[in-house]
Amino acid sequence: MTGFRLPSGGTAIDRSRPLTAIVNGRPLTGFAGDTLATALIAAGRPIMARSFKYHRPRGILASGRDEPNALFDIGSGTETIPNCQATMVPLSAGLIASSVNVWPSPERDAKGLLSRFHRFLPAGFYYKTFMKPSWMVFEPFIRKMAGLGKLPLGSAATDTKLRYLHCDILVIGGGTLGIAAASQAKYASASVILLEDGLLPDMADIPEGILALDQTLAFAIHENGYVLAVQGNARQLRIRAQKIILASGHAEQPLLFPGNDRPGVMLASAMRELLCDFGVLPGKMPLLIGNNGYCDELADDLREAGYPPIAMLDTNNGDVINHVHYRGGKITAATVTSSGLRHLIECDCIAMSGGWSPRLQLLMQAGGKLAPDAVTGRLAATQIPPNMELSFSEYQEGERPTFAARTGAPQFVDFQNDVTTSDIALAAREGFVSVEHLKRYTTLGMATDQGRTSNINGLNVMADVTGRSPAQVGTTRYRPPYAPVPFAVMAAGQTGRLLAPLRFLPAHAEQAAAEALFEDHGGWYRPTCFPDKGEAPRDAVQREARMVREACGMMDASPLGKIEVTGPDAAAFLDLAYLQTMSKMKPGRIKYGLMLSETGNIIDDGVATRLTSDHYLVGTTSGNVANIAANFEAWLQGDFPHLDVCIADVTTSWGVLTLTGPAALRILTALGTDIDLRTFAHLDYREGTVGGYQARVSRVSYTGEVSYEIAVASDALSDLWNRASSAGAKPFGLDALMVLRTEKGYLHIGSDTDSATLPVDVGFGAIQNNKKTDFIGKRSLFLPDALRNDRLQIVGLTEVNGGVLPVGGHILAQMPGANRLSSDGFITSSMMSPNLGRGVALAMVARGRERMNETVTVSDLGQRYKAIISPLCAYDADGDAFNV
Amino acid sequence: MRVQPRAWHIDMILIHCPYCGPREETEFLYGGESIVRPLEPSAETDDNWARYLHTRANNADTVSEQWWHSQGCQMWLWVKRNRTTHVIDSVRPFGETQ
Repeated sequence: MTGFRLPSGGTAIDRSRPLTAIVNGRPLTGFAGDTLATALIAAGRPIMARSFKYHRPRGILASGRDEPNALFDIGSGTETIPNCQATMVPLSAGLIASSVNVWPSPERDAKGLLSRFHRFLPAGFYYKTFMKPSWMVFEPFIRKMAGLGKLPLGSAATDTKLRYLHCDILVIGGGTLGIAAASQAKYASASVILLEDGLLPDMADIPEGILALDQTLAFAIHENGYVLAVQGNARQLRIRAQKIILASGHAEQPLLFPGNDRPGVMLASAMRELLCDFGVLPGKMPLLIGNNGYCDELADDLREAGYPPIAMLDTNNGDVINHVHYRGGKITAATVTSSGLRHLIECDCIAMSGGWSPRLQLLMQAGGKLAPDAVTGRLAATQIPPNMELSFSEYQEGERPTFAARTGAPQFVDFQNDVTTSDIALAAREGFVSVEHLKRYTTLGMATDQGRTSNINGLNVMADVTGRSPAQVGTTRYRPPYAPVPFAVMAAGQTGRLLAPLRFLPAHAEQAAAEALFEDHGGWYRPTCFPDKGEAPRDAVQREARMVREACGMMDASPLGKIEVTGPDAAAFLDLAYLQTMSKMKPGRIKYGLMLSETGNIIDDGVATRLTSDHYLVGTTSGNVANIAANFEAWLQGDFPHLDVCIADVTTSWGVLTLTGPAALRILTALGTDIDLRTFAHLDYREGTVGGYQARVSRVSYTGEVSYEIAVASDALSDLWNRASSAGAKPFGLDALMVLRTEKGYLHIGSDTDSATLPVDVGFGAIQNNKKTDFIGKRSLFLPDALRNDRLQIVGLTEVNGGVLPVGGHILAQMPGANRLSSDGFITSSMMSPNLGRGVALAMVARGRERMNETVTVSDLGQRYKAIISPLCAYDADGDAFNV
Repeated sequence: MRVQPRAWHIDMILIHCPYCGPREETEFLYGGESIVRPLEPSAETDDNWARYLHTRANNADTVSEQWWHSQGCQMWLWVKRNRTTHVIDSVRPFGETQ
């Protein structure tokens, strides 16, 4: 007999509502309230799975979240959720379920032959067998044979929700003790949340005002009472609780005997739940064996249902099961020893109760300590964190049964990973006696059930085999998550565009209308280029770079960092913050500067503008403004608290339009401004109106052409963009900007420099000797490594035939005294230059400045190139473009 | 150019900012162990300066650290934190002595 539904009974099901699902391709009918597991047993289909390694037929062992065997892929196609426990899946109309890693079905699995070879496949077999000619020959097959569910490729995008909650008291566990603890807390006027992994049958029992969430699993506890929970596989909860009461109950443990994994052998609590909650029995002739009084309670229920136990065995009296007779997919009998005599008992299902271990894994996650009891091996708390309380009932239990080594049928300890008692004995023989080694060598406790029904037995067996107490063996560390959580839930609130939110330019709409090709540049959504219809991006970049030098280009440069620095000591502060001296410049002037870290390395470059004697505007690279602002605050608050300075990051308050090119002056005039443009010299700063808007205008250039950076209020930029466009300015993107600045030999921090670059490497070595006052990083510029004369130096590099050199290519050097080549540096920037009609490149080369006009060999991905070390600035070295 | 996603982080530690109250750690930026900049860097030997730059106690117990409340008051804080248990002993503004 394999399983059937009783004519009446079952508190969880609604017999008036039958449902049909498709399981392993066949229809399955059950009732509303059934789980997939209970419906399958009721329908006489107890074989639900094949074990991981040996492919032995398996039914359910446990109830609820502890079930290790019955794993199913639920759903189909991209909606499939793999590895769901049949005991946790509610039956629903049209549900599609497939047992994992079986073919063609769990009843008839083709790899079931493997179980015949179990003696050759013990723990760690892959270190001893399948070694010649090479493990890699066998590994793909063996890997295919093991394994669990299938991940759907191209999953449908999920939008799992995230919810934050705060409370005084969080109660984990909605059983009798949990509800009592929550009620008591509520009575004391605390804000209370109660979480229950299963169903809360009667919400009315719970006092009003308590937020009771069922089908909600607390799966992680972090510092300061931070608890993560998953609600029904669809929503992540993040709960901050002042105090946590753990009332998570006990998990029943299996007994060890040959054949204890057969379909039809299950925990006594699982059989009791089948009977009482679902009106289902796995057989008509149950055999009960246990080491505690729980079997008596199950026996009472069985008698009441009309199916009294065939036999009741008590391990405390020395009763053992010697063998489970299993044939044709059914249990037929069990050979037992009781009172010294051997009996053959006809039975068709077996309930075992090996004792109860409190669910304390979350306590360990929260920083508490657990140890196995010296006698029974069940977990006990030895240290409870100050913000937690435990609420568990005391269970009476007998002595734990000792493990007896037996030949013949295996006795299973870890059901999901197919770890047997002989595996544990093997581990001990080979010296893996520490509980941490036991776990990793045998994989005991490493399955998706995290050892909830195997760790206790495992450490008990190891204790027996090595003559220690379970307390001496100890337990491994329990880490989050308590049970598998879908990645979609873990990523809640951070999927899609929320993962790395982009920042948009003030004139985004106008640039989109101009057919910009937008990309993520340092967190900002900016145009790489503006390709014409049918134009390849690479060609657009060349066209734009040519256009800027011939006419006037326009760019939305709003992301450029802008930090206001004000106060009587603003000038002194900037002298500290920059390599260059900033305190001598006149108001209305702009100066280029490098900012260093305390190690002397360049962290940013940009221009500083002096507005008045105690008011500066510091410009930073777009992606770096937050770091520079953080540094400024650290130095002002920590190292130089005596300085009277305030800083403010105003980057996003100002929209910036850059006009650059020979026609820039004409375009700016066309926009209309009250600034006297005839006296507006290079590196001047003026305030006034442009196009009717209050503006801060700077004459700085990153292109080598006459440039005006016009800063207006962000919301005015769109209008200004349109007007400039109407006046004849043409948009250009960041890639063209890179071409233009490379032609001029202007540095791009982060491309031409890295975290090891010093000012002397990029041509700013004189200042450190001339600037007498202290500045951040100054001392480091005089360390021995900074004073080496063979450091890499930035130079231009020209391919002998005018071709484009590969970025990252290394300049080859002959190693002295060795027949080997080494690197003398590498190419940092390289592209085609439309304005020079040839390739242009910058490189960091050892002693580069001394080696002008030297021909060098560049090596990159197996190719060689010949290039000449050239001056940094390849275009308009005299700066004629600025003489307007 | 693809940028690394930022702030994929489940906040755990609560830091009691003296200006803002208890806030989650994701509001802060970590600034390393507490260090005091020498008053006269030019007077430091190469070794001493290198020690200031690079050598840290890095104990596995309570260490004094610098944290910046970047998403809040923007004040820098001395935080005495146990690096094994994450228990925070004290949080004080930079202005106070350690």
